[in-house]
Amino acid sequence: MGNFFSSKKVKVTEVDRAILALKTQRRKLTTYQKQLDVVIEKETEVARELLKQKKKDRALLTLKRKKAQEELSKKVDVWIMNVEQQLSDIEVSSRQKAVFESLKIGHKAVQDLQKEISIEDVQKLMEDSAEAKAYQDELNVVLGQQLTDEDDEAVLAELDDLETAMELEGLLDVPAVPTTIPDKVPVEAEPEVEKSVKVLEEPIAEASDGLQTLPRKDVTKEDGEEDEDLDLPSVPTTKGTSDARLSSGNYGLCLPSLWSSVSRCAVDLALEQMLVLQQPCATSPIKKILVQLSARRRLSGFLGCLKQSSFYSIF
Amino acid sequence: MEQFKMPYFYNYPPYFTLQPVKDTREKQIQLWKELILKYCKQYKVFVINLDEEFPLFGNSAIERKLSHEARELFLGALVAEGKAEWLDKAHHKCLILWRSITDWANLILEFVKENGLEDGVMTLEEIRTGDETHGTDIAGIDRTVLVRALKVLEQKGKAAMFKGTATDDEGVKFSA
Repeated sequence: MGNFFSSKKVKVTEVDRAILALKTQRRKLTTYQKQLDVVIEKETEVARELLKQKKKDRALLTLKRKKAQEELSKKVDVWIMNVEQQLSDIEVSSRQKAVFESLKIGHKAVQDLQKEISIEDVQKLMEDSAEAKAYQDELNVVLGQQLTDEDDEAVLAELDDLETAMELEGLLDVPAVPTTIPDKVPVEAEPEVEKSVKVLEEPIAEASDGLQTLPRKDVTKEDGEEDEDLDLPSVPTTKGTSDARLSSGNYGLCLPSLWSSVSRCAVDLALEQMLVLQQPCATSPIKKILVQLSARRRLSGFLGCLKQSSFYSIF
Repeated sequence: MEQFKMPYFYNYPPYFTLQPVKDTREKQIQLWKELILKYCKQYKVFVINLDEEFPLFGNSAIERKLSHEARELFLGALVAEGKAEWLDKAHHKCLILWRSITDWANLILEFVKENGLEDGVMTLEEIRTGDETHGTDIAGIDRTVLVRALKVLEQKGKAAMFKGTATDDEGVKFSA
């Protein structure tokens, strides 16, 4: 069974002693048989001698003795066979025992290993990993969507920039605009527009305001705010000032033709706002943001279109 | 078994007489030592009894034989080399180790491994005269030598000697 298990001393078991006894017995029997053989040979010799001496009776007796010895020798043969048989039986049994022991150890090892993994644990593990995978999938979907949204937004923003820049380039050459009846249009527009819409009107104010002031600076400002602020209503600019300007009707600098289109746009904007407000209430924060983002994208697209239309209306 | 070929000096009378000159005697001792070992190995002689006639120590052809003193001297030289051992203090019996005890032990171990007797039990008699060892160098090993070789194996943890119920059955269990 290998050197690992054998300590300095080899253990002698009862089985070993039994084997030794049997082997010794076998040796003794063999010796006895040799002894018998010698005797038999001698008896034959003696019988021959007696016959020579014409002592037939004695010779016959000797031969009978020899016969008996031969019988005995045969018996010893059987005994030796028996001993041999038992020896090999012991051998077989001890081998079987060794095999059994090995199998037992192996079985125990298997059991011990299996004990370390319980079915419940495995099931729980599998469930957990399935959950984790599902979560990962969901995350992937959400993240992917967000990315496209942002991309869209970035592209749109860039488009806006480009458009504004180009338009403004053309506008710079336009002669100074005469001021006429600024009050007229607001009166026309305001009854239709609700308060919330007013807030949303800001982009228009911004856009029209941007015509007079430095356009580039305004655009960058808008961009900067877009990046950090996801809350829609406050996107374009500071509320207070715009509101003040709107209510006081301080649009003297604006073109009257522009104003008419502005009022039309205000209606559109109001409708758009309603749409945003009607968005189903999203539960998860991510979804909320997404909704806001998409709403905002739509709005900024609208804003772009608004600007465009207002600019075109100038010409 | 082929006939042992005696060396040339075996037929020279001077070699049967202890030489007085130191150099010559040393050479004589050397030659006799080699002869004794060779002879004993050939005929598997383990013990030389100085009180009994030993064929090697006498050459009837030249009517010469070694004196007791010469025999003791030659064997003593072997003992000094570790190739023989006095079995008694009076130097009557000498154990000739033409193969060292360690070599015997290794030989037995080799035999055990070759015959798949690891974990097996053998009687000492079986090793000496049994069918298993028949025809090997181990057959006919001296009991004293065998016991000592087995003791070497015992120290290595490769064997264990034990006695059975009867006094004459000694056994050994191997573990290779």
